[in-house]
Amino acid sequence: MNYFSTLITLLRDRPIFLEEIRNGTKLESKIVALIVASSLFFAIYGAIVGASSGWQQMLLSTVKLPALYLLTLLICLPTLYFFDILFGSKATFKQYTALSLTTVSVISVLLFSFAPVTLFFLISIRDYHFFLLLNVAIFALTGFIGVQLFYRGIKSVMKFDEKTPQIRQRLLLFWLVLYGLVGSQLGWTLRPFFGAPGEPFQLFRPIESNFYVQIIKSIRWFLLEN
Amino acid sequence: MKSDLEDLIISQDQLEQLTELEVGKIFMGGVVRPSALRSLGQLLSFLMTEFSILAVVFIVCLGVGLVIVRSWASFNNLLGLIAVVIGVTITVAIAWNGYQWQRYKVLKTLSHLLDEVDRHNDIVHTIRVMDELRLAQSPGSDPGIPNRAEIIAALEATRDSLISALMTERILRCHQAVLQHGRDLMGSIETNLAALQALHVSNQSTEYQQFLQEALEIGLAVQQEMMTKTGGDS
Repeated sequence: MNYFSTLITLLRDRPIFLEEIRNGTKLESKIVALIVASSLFFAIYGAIVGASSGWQQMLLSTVKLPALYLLTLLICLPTLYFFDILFGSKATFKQYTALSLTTVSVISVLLFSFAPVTLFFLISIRDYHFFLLLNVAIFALTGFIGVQLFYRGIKSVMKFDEKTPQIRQRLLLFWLVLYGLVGSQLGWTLRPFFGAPGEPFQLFRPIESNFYVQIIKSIRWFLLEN
Repeated sequence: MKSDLEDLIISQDQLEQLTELEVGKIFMGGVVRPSALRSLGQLLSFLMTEFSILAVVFIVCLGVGLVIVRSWASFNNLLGLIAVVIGVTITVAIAWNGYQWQRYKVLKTLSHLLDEVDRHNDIVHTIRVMDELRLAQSPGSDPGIPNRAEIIAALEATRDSLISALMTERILRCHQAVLQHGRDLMGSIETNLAALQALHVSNQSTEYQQFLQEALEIGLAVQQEMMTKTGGDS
């Protein structure tokens, strides 16, 4: 099974790929290929960000990052499926799975494409807060692009038009917000993905405040302390 | 490829249409084809697939495990957690292979047919290569191998037989439950018919004899119909 050719088809011939999902063509092999390929790319990016704090953190982040994205999907997918079929969708669970995996796959490829940049800054600038903010920016950008493509993709596959109930569009937007919230909270729960300077290897950080408060703290530190 | 040879190939798309399953060199409907394991390249590809899927299972299970133990204040046994996750992954691997084996029982006939399709396609490819070699050796002359027309006719017959067999296999596979129900129904019909015949014999002199005769006739007609429908399956 060639996982990467499926991923390349998704990136290169997106309309054809979405058409195949709409027609239910080879959904199982698409799902397996997208899961495996995206997990590999996430694992590579996880290893790079984890490498900032030693080999133990590197190994753990290799697992944590793909787990973060796959678990977020696992948690959020049933909500999307059941609510959407409740309001008139005829698509199958496999079609929803394949569609949502296109998001995860696009994010993984974009993260992978940022890997040399992250590696460069990891080697050249030993600044924890800068590295943290850089990665938050990269995760936010890739996530935004992935989610946007998913939004367009699902509207195309489900053939959204003027006759489509407004509630389904709102529901989709609600789900995207939910996906972002679950993802960020899960990321916060699973941290650290890269250890803080001078601290020993940690499986987890103590739970303190939340993701958004920490980002504001880092921005403040970066702007005022530097 | 010459158009007559092109038409002889049974393509993957055709196979998928005929079988209503995803068919590849290694998998058919998500189940491994035993013949694929005889080739080293395909065996490695299968092992890579199995390893990749188990790696993903390991990652997801470890992720779930980390989220669970996160709330345990005194947790510091990462190796213990990894051991549990490996245990779960092995259990999933055993369950997956067990499921594969169960599914293979249903798809055994298809597996054999697909092997024959591969053999058929290989022959067509070989003829194409021989045609090309002959054309290269004597440009401008007739590229045909000796008895080419007979071979093509034989392959056409083989192709038709394979397509018929694949269609029959799909119909039998898709309607297995109905056919099983049909066999049960047949048993029930025969039991009912025997009861009707017994009633008919014991009531020949009564005023209900005409009704029983009609019931017996209906029973015989139904039995005949069911035998015609399920005759090919038994």
